[in-house]
Amino acid sequence: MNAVETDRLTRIFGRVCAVHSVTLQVPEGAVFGLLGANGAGKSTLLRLLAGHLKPTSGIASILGRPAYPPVPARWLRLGYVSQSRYLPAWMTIGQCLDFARAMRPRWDVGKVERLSRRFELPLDARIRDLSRGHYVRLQIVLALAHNPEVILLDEPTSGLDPAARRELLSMLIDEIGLRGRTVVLSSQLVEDIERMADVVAIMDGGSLVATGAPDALKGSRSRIECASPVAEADLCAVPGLVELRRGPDGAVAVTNEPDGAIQFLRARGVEAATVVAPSLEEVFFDYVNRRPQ
Amino acid sequence: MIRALLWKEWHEMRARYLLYWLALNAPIVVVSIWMAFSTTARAPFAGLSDATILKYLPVALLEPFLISTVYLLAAGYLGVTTFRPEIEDRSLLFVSEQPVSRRRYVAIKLLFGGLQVTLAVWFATVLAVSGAYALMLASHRVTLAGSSGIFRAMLAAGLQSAVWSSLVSLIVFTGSALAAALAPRWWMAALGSIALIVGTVLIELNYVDFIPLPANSEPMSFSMNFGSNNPQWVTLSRPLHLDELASFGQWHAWPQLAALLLMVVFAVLVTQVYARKELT
Repeated sequence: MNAVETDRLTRIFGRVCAVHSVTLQVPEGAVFGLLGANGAGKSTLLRLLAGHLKPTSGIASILGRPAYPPVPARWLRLGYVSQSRYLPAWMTIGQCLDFARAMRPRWDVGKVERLSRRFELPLDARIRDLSRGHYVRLQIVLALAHNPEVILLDEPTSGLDPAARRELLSMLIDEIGLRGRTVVLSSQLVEDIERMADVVAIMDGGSLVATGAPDALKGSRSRIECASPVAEADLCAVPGLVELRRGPDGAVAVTNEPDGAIQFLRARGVEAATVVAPSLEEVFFDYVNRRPQ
Repeated sequence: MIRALLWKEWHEMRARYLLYWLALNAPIVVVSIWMAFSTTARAPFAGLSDATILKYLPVALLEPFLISTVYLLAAGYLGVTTFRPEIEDRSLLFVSEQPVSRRRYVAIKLLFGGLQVTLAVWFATVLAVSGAYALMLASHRVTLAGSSGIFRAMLAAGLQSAVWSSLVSLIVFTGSALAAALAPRWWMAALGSIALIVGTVLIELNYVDFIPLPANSEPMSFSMNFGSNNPQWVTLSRPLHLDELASFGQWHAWPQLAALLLMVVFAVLVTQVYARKELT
């Protein structure tokens, strides 16, 4: 069963289509990474999944029920870490945790104490005075405290320095990754997604442009480097050709059929053609900057 | 859960509740102190006796009239600020992420705010009458034994009028809360609230007699004369009669029922709007 599903989910703000016909399925227990540049529509998609926004068309469902209109009981099974700050600024961390505890019957006191110690949360500090790092940690504690089945994380590491980011990711992996929960994590940082996600979706301009396991995505944009000259007609006919680049060291064909492409070139006498596995970051840029027509 | 919601509401709203209580009650306290210590201010009361107390004690009933008109601005402020700050700073999202229905949350906010409005109105009404009477007693020409009956009648009239004052204040409170829920900006909510207050006062002045004197009774006038040369700063042409006093605040049933209905409609609409409101 899919824990999170969308079907042609669309959200338009005025004249801006923030999310355009997104269809995805996240199986139970999977860590689903949403990768995209600023303004790609990741946060809007997560807010649609959280039920904060009403879809213009299409449907989003969490744990088998539509995300909108919001049903209070769903928050017993759902945790959400937003990118923006909206916890009551006047509360202290302790007050905020106490308030949330009173709201949620399945509050795990031991876990919250352990996380608070590990995250070094200053319980007496006012939320308005918290740094970005402490604020995100508090959000994570709030999102995990009731052991939800689905966790939505909207760029939890944005605005953190590299060391804090690495530390937070390690904590997230410890607390979430090993416990078989369904996680939807958005980020513009490829490294974060690659470290955590089982399935990666790349968003651009509000649409999903690619979805798959990280290795499968890398395979979808393999580079064939040709050291010796190749006829233009042959290069253009490479199976699965996505993009053709020419450089001082020869041509590079980006293809989604690397095996077929190699066989094709060798059949035409091009022996000096090698497949170079791209990094996920290169694949991401391929999709985002030079989407195939 | 409800205790936690009430705790949050109290923490967020206590300064505004205090402001509302002060708006309604502080002027009474200030005027009372001023009259107690100023010979000029005390002048109208100085000559009063048990027999003439009805001439000036009804001035205290100005308070419910003010609550039903001028102080509606304070009720409107309370209504707008009960909801608007949570929308502006987006902390409503935090509450929406708790397993509590928005209808219940909004209902608790409305009930808690409405309770504050009602208590403040009734307290101010009792304080105004009691304060004025205490000043008269302090002049030593008015005695408890000789005038307590009049005080009780005055208090009853005040409480009677407090029913209307609190209903009107609650209409403005819930209506302003509705404006805050519907308007995309706080200043639009404020304008909506002011429009509601103006409309309420106009309807009130046209359709509700605050002091419905009997048709055959002697006309009564009221004048104010401020200035150092005039110690009689307020003059009433004649004292009220007890039967006239009994009619103070005793309006027909339909305006009160209509007001009650309107308040309920506003409150239900606020909960419905918030239940369906998209949190952007």
